[in-house]
Amino acid sequence: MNHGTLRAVRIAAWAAILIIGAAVVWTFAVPHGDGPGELVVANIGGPFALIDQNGTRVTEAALQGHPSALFLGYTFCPDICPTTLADLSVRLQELGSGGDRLKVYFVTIDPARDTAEVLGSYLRAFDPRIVGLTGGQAAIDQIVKAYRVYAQKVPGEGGAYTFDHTAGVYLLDERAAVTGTITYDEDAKTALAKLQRLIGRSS
Amino acid sequence: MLQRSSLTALAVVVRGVALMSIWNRFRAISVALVVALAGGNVPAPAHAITVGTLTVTGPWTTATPPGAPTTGGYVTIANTGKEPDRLIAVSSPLAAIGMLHEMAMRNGIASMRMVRAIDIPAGKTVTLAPTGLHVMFEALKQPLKVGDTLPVTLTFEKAGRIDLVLPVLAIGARGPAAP
Repeated sequence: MNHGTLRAVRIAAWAAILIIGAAVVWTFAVPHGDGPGELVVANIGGPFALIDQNGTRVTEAALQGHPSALFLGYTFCPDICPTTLADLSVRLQELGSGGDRLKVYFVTIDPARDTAEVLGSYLRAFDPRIVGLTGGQAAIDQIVKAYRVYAQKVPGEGGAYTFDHTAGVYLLDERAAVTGTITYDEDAKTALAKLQRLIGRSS
Repeated sequence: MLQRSSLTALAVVVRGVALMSIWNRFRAISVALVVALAGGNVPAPAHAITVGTLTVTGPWTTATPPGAPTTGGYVTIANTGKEPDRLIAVSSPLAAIGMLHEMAMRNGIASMRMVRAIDIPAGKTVTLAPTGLHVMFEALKQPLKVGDTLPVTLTFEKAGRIDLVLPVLAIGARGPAAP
């Protein structure tokens, strides 16, 4: 073998290593959409009939024509819910007027305690653009099921109770299709980028 | 000669009394400190508090939205001793209920459970945090606002009671700013 042939073989060998390496990385390291901890995005949503904190009727039709962020929680929630709503409030401020097209919904999973009045009072601690939704137990069960949210009541001491529940925010496009999520531990920059992309895509 | 030796003896006695009084004074101060800390009548400052082998640092809690009756309490507990201890109770004059909790996040689902005690192993540091072991206050008697403080008593199996005040941080805070 002359010098040129050796060189060609060496380049070919390195190319093969690179291609195999890239394939391995793509197969094992690049997330393909349904890794653990991610919410399943397909076929989520459906009809619902609830009221907002002012008592105004809100149905799935309200999700049409603008991007939305949807989060299910409850006001007795000690940490996840206020933290998520505080984070969303900061994101809305960061989005500035761009955030005006985005509608953020906080749907209670605890309608027994979270009346429209309670939601209205609670939401005063957050960005005024956040809309609270409540309703009868059957109406809440319907939206919990439609959005495939896990919400399980856990009895505590002396009649107190909490919920085990899905943490994370659904991102919906202007046709109310779920196009992504913001997880509880999502980095603030990533969360903002996701919202900007959602708003940009829907404009 | 005799006189001199009795003078020397007197000097020894005087010095002894002086030494004893210093020792007594030291002991009295120590006892007072131990009583004050263990008895928990003195609100502790926000920096490190040491009782026995336990040192408590970095306490915080978060403000509550209007009407929300619950908040968590977070603190770091270091056990420099050779014996394990356990946090067995928590209370606050501003909350009807104080509990020990563990929050776990599995597959995007947050679950909260009461625990009987929080182990503080010998030579280890345990940090109570929102996503993990922490203390929980329910039925708060008033909303907590940023800048308020929440007085809290932690009760340990061996170290006894530790009183501290938790600075109230903003809703959504992840903890006190690094010093």
